[in-house]
Amino acid sequence: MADQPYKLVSRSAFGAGEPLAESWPEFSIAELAGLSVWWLSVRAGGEDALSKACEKQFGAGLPQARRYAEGEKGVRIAWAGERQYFVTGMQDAVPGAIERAGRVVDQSDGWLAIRITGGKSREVMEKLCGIDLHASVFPGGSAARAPVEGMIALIVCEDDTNGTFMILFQRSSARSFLEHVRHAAHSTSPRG
Amino acid sequence: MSARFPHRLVKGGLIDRSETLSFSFDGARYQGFRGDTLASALVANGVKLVGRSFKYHRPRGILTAGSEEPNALVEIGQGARRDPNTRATTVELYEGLVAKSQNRFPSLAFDLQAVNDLFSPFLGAGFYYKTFMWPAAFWEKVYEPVIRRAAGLGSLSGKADPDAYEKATAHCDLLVIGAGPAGLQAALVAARAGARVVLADEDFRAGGRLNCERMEVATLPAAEWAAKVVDELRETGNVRILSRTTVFGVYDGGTYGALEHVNDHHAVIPDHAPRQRLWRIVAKRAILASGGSERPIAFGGNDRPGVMLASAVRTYANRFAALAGQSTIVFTCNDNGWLTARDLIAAGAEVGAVLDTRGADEVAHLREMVGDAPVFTRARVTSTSGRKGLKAVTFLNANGKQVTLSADCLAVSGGWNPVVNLTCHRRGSPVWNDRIAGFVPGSDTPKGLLVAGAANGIFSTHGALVQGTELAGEALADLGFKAPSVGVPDAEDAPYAISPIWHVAEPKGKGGGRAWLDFQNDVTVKDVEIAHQEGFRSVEHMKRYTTLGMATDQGKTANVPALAVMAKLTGRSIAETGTTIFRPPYTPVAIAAFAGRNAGKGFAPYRLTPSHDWSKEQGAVFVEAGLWLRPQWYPRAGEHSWRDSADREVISTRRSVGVSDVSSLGKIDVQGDDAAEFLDRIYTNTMSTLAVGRVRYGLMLREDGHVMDDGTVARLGEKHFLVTTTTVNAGHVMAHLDYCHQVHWPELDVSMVSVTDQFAQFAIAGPNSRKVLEKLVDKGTKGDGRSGDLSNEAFPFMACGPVTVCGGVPARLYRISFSGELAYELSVGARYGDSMMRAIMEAGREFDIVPYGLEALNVMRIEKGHPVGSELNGQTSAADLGLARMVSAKKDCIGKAMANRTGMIDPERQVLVGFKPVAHDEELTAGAHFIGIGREAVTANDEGHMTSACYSPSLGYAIGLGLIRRGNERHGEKVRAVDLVRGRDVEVEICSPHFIDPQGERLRG
Repeated sequence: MADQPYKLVSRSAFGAGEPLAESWPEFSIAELAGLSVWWLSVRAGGEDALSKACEKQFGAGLPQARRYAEGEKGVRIAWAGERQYFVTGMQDAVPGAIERAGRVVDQSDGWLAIRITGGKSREVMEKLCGIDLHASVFPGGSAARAPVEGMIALIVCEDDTNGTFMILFQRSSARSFLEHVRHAAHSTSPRG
Repeated sequence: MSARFPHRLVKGGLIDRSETLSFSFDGARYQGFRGDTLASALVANGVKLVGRSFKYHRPRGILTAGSEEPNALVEIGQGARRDPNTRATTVELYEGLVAKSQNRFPSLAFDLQAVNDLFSPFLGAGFYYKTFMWPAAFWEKVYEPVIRRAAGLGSLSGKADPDAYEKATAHCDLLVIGAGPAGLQAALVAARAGARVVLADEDFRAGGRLNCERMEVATLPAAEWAAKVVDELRETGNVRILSRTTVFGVYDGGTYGALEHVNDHHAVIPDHAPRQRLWRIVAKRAILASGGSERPIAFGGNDRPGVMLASAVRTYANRFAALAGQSTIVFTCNDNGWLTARDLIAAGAEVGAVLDTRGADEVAHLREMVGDAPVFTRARVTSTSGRKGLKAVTFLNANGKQVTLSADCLAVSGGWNPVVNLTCHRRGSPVWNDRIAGFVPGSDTPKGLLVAGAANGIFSTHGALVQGTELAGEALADLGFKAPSVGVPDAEDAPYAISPIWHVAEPKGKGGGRAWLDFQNDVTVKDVEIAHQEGFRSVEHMKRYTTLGMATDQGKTANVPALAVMAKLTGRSIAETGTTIFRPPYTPVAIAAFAGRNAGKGFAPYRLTPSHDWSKEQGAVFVEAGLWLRPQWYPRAGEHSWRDSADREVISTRRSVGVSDVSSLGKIDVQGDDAAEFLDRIYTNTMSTLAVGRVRYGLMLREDGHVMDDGTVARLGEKHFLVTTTTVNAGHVMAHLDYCHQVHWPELDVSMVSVTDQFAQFAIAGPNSRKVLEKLVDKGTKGDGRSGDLSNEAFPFMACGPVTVCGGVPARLYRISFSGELAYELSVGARYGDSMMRAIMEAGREFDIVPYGLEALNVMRIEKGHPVGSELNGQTSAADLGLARMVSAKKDCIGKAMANRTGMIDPERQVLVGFKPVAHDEELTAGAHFIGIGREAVTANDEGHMTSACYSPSLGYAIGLGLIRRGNERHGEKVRAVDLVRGRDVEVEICSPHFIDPQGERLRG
């Protein structure tokens, strides 16, 4: 291995060297580069066991449908469908207890995350996505699987007071996704 | 009046006289003010002739002041931005606006095609159904082009639309449609209750009729009260006011379609800003407060420019301070028409007479509002005169005596129709109401939609305010809000009195000309009579025979009078006659708005392979595969066509080594105690017997027994599999697996997730592929399955396992082959995909490695006889594809029972075989049909078709795969491949579909 002449370099799906960060008046997007994303699934009849394992390992159990749970050290467990969750922010390998209680699949290369924030973020999103992101319906702590301009995404509301959302989407559609977000941002909040 | 604006009042109106706007109409320059519509500005400038009618090219003027306008259709903008058939009455005036009349040649004033009007006796309803019947060859080549040129509305520019459009979704507790008194009051009540409200109105100024009438609400001028309410609504923070927005349709689940004219009122649209926005409004409740629209009366010459609806004349005077005429006659059958006379007099304009169809007693209480203006009761207008504009009005007085008065404006009121369209979009039917002589919403309105104000037949302002208040309270209570106490402001509450008249029959010997019902489609009372004579009794049939109620206005001013005429002819009541079906959109919506951003490059999202940038650097030509953009071929200097590139890529790969990014193939991670059992039920062949570290080709069927997809299944662990699918079927297969688990076998312990995007995967194929990989795969990490030994013994055909590459990057290696060569698929995390491709190319440099695209991939799979989408076309069974042995006899699977239906096992079925031209220099084309030698190329002799074809650089001639009856029994037989589309007829020999290495020695080497 030592004399291996070929080295692999990680590359952003956006094609840029630096993590993506752009802003418009009252709206900004930032790539959450390097965020680990794991898919977590419940074994048949093992919901409680998995939730307890998560509670012990991450400091947060499995969330209710359409919600996410904030754990320790930046770990977040977001509901992602029937008996499915996304765990983001794990710094280390998946704890054995979690693997034993549930099923995990690394999706860190398959799913990218951006954070959008600002007073215009809901206005931008209503041009991209059909779900209701109003604070009264989708408050902080909410999570939803929803298509964004026909692309699969997971949207979580981090702070409903300032319109901060984390959006996970598939790597292969990253640039297409970004084009649509940019267009909606330009249209909603022109830079002048 | 001022010298600059001969028809503009010197004061009043809701226009901003401090901002003068220049515009042009048919090349002539005019001026208007901010707050004008194009129509009001034309009225203020004394322009009466604005267009030519659809069929007879008759001069037409402005009829209305709203979106129901049938006449004043103009082209707005120039060049690619030309927008035809735009209602001048809804166009907000802006500086530099360019408008042109349409459907005329060479000019509006002198239109040669006005000659059509002379032939009108021959061009009545249905004439073209009878006239243009033969010869049949003329239908499309002669008749249609001529008719289209002679009759019609505006025309598109023919150029791509340069403007941007977008779509958006709004959610609310209450959608209020219409910002007139009922709508504003409802929105106010809901807003004060804290509900999320969307208030949509098609006008650029909220207020509806409040802006058009001389009246007070809550002791304020009505328009001022409306503005005050709007200000309060804006301040609440929970009301979204969508002005310039027409709610055009009602759809499932409380969803409403609306079109917002975001920037149509600007000459130059700011960068990135949309011209129009299509809203999908999801509302828990909605209140329709769309108001009413006045209807005309049919009489001779009622289409002459200068004949207008009374409410429109009033609107132009009150809201826009523009007089439609210097001398106006009012013709009415209801009290409302008198308001026009009153307001014109108040504005200092001349009212030549008020003609009311009712008796003196019925109108006695109205007389004082018109002062000294002459009043004629029991009067009926019979004709008008004036070449391109009204000069005089002839009517019969109460004594039946014909009287002619000079006038340049005739304000007509035939009563009011509630605008019920949206209440019918879910197949509801309006019901006739004798009190108002109009249709009102029935009991079958869309769920969650309440109707208030004039739209519900309540024509007084006070009544509208009361109903807006009450219905908002009702909606709020349904939604769990506590309705606040909001008082109903004082407003006029006059009763609505009408004695309807639909058509003034021409007195004998005093023919007054044709009486028009549908101005936009040139349909007269006589046309409806002809339809009746022809036996058309259904209102729907009458509509289609006469074209009444069609085109851009959908008969908003025409339908009810026409129904009344038809009712009289049939002896039925109007209620019995009924209406035609109301369908969305309420007003025209540009296709571009429906498309929004999803046009051109943004038509659909696209997906890129991890090595896309590298391929782009190589000058690859890309092609769409599903949503993916995949390299089709990699051209090199000196190559003149895709064939040159594809041939080289095939030859190089088969001779040495090639690489292709196959990341787009679907990849599904399947885990669970019952994962093997689950896959056994999905696939035709058995997966539970697959050893860990091995891969098996799999075939899955649909429920109906036809092949759904194929791919590989790799067993990564005892309870862990990786399923691959074709690129385009990836989503479909994922949904299928989810469905089968959740619906058929929820008891199975299995979990599955798509990992397509997680991995960059590369097919490395060719005799030197192992040597290339040996340079990349790390060695010496024994003990965890990552020995790095790629020898045939250690890593045989259909093996798989984890490895590390390039100094420790985790990867998976699969020894599978689509090309038929010794081949591997190497999978790494997608973030390394670009880098991995570069490393593979670098490692393969000494072997002259080439990247190959989809064309070469396709050639190699045809040479090998692998079916793809062309063969898995939804109509083929496993047996058809020569894969019958893959259907295990020892177990059941999805589709197995249905695959054994009689028709599915018919020996006459078409099966997959190979084809090669008898003359090797002939080309083969996919889609060609197989016809027996000497037989005529007709459907009856069709034996099958060529599913795939290519030139095989390995063999030096064209080859193909195809489905033909009893193909397996006919190897060596010759048939013709007839391609009628491309004009080819090639003699071909049926052969095995495996053209290259039929024993599979290469891929096992």
